[in-house]
Amino acid sequence: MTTKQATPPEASYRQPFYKRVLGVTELGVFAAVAVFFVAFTLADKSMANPANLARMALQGSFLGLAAFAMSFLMIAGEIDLSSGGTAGLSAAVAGVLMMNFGWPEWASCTAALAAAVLVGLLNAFITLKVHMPSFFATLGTSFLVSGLAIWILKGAWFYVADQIPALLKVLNPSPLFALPWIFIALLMAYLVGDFLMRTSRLGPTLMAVGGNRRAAEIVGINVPLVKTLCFVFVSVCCGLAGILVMAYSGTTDASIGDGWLLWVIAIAIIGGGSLQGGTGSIIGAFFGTVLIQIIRMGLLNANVQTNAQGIVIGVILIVAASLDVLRRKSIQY
Amino acid sequence: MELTYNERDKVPGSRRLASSVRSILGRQETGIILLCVILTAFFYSRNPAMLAPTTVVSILRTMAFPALIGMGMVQLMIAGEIDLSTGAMMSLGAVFAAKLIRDAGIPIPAAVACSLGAAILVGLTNAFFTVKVGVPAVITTIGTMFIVRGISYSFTNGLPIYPLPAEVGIIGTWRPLGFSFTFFLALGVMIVVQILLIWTRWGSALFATGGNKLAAQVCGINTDRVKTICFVVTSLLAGMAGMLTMSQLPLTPGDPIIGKNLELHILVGVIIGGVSFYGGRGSAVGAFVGVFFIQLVRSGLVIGRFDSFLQTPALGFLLLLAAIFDVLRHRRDEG
Repeated sequence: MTTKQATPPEASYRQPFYKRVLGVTELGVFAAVAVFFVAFTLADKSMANPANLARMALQGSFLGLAAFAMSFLMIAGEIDLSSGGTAGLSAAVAGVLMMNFGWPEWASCTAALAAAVLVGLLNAFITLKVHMPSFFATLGTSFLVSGLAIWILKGAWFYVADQIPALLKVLNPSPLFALPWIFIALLMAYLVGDFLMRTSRLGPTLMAVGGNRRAAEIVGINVPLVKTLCFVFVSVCCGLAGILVMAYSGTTDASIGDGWLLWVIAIAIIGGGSLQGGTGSIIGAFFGTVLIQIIRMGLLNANVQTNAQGIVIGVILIVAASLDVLRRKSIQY
Repeated sequence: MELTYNERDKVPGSRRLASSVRSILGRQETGIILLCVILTAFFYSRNPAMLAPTTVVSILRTMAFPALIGMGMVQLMIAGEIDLSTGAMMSLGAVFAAKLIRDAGIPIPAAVACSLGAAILVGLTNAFFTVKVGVPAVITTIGTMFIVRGISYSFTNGLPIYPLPAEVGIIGTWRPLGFSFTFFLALGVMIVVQILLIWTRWGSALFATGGNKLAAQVCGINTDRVKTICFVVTSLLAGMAGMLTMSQLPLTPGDPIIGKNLELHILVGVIIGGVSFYGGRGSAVGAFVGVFFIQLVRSGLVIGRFDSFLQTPALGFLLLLAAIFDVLRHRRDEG
């Protein structure tokens, strides 16, 4: 068995310029964003008008928030398939507390986020203490959680738009190009997250945990703690996204997060994340979100019916996952 | 405690009896059957209709569809893979056949054959991305689940396809001994699969592939082919179950909602029946009993006058419980 030798980091600087540019993980997704945007704009002029762009920014922010957190978790080598269920559960908890129990807005939203924290802790517990692969652990919790949401709402839906003045403000357009506040906040989060991953200890820590767990333990990283924090972070972000979708649509519905897990995982992988952990890019996930939102909006404008959109989601997911596998094979040496 | 054959002969008769009783009690199937009895008694105490002949027959008729697919799933999971696209495949199987019969005027047997052909294609797609490309089976089959159900909905614009000729309902309305044809089909397939697993080279190849892939390859087993066959068989059975569902529904519509959420039922049932997430472990009888158990819970919740919205969380909870149990058992076996 030959020992694997890591390429020293300097090697990338010795390569010619064009190779260094091509080696940037985010380049592919950035190119895809450009190609799809131009293609959809040529097909339908309304794609590029400012009002449409602002609407896309608003609608994309919900998934973007979930994908933001998911890319951290995937770098740490785990995955969360319960994202959509958690979003639905949070919205259900917030809606029921507001409408049936008369709780104020802030209290019900806090309770909803607390429920999301519990889901994250449950995921972490099953994955880290019981040692079940997170694929299966979170698949189980996703059914449990979305079932709970249905049970809480008893199949009903609540009209909550009058109860949530503060949440609605988050969705209002800001002075900056009339982009919604939530999008500005999300963009800042992405930039800060990416900056921290590149400059602080956060990046090496997460990559060590996801890339080589044993090595991470040897250098003194508390692996279970890091992973637990990542799981909880994902659940909280998904819960928050669920509450925001509730605010956007004005109604509470247990099916708010249906199909999210596909989008979120596809975004994270498209953005340079890996199902194996250890690598990934935060800003890449942002471009992934933009790409997915362009595709979704393009399908909507082209009048592709909702049910048939599943075909596109599925294809994107499988293609993205295959690309991830091929990318990993190509860098093995 | 494992005894070799020779040592076993020296053990006195009474202790041999005790050990065989223990080994029967130690089997997961026995535990599940006991649980079934307890649950039945519990639901019966809430509503005596639980043991009425109509209820029992209807439970057995309904469990036949997931059980039939479960017989493919058990082989697939023993080989170490998983398929979440089965419910969607049921829907496509029914809708595709219905579409061909009604709109293309193709005779029923030919339409059934085409539909099964589509099922084989789906199975091959699953196998290609999982086995050849190397995408985890969970991701691949969640992807195909969305694609296949999307295709099925776009075929029909979300509406059931009917009317179909009355001949479509012949098999579905046939009630041998008061049960349904599908129930006996599932039972027959279970016996065949159990025999395959225990006594044939195919069974050994499955357990070897899922238990220790490298060792299996060293022994000359083409693990890729084994997994591919399992994927195709599972999809094929799902397509078949979809058409049988259509045949059993009143008015025999090709409804795209067929098989909705059934993949969860199958998965939980098979795992409760002793099949492992990790591959290399499981039995057809166990899977059959596990699927029956899930149907018992689902029907019992309705008959016992529980909140019907409890069904999905109950299934999710059972899945987690069974999976945790599976992990603990796996760790014990690994030592």
